[in-house]
Amino acid sequence: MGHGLRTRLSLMPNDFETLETLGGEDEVSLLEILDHVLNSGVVIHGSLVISLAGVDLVYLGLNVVLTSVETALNNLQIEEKRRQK
Amino acid sequence: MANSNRKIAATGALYLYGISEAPAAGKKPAAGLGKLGSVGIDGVHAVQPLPCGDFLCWVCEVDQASFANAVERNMENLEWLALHGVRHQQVVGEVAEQMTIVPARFGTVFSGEPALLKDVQGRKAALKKVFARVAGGDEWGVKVFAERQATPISVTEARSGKEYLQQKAARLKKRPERNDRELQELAMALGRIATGSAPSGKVSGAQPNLLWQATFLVPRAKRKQWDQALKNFVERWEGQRRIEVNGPWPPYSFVSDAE
Repeated sequence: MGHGLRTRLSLMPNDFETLETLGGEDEVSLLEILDHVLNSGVVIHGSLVISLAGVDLVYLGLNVVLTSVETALNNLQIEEKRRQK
Repeated sequence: MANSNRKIAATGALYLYGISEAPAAGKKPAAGLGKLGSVGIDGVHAVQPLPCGDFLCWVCEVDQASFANAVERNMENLEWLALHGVRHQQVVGEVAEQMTIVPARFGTVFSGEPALLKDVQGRKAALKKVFARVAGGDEWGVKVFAERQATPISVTEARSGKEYLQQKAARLKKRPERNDRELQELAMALGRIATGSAPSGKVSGAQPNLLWQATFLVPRAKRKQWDQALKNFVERWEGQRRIEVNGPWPPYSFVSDAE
């Protein structure tokens, strides 16, 4: 499994019987991408841990933007394929 | 890369994705890189490897006014952060498939080629140490969730957005025990296989029922042991706790001492 095929797996005992190693099923989520990308270094801004009424706003906020970002990425991929033709 | 020989305009600001080691003299870079970086960080410019002594810097030209000067402000814009974070990962991930890459901090922009080259060359010793540490390893994220019946929805309906958030916060607070002995055992079992570990979850830390999470640097040669250690806990915790694994990632969380 390469780096282009990141996976997120909820591990069940059967996963290990059907897959030689942790295989690919679920697409990794945007939250996980940002968890790792933003985990490098000290770039995080204070604003990222703003919370309102004790709720992590970023978590809520990212759920909200998830759809629009996925749409944007799909469009990017379509563009890319067109360019490759 | 269609235009890898193109000279970068000296005036252009450069977004840095990360740094890999230059191929040995006379050796061409891996063939598979041709498809890389059709989408630069700004969605316009191409990604290219910029030779820098012993290193290759993976960069993309960006506009000074619309991109470079706006990075700091945009870091607080979730939508921007999400889209560009994913673009960053696409390129760093593709390079990592071919060779070891030390990812740059997300959002690193240099005013131009001379500034970038000077900075990278000034970190030569630190970078070499980081390469030695992360080579042959992948970053993995591990999360443990409590398996529980969904918390009953609160009886009173929220009358305002604020009330809704307060109720949600109260539900989140009722999370089960964290950091108990069994979680520590998992951390230790994984830590014995990994060559490094780091806290994680800056962004997803508020997921409901999340008990514990951490990020590990796992040597590829030890994947079987890694999988086995996870399997042991999956079986032990069946029905009580759920383990989620994500990876492999480039070693984002294990390079900060090259800064």
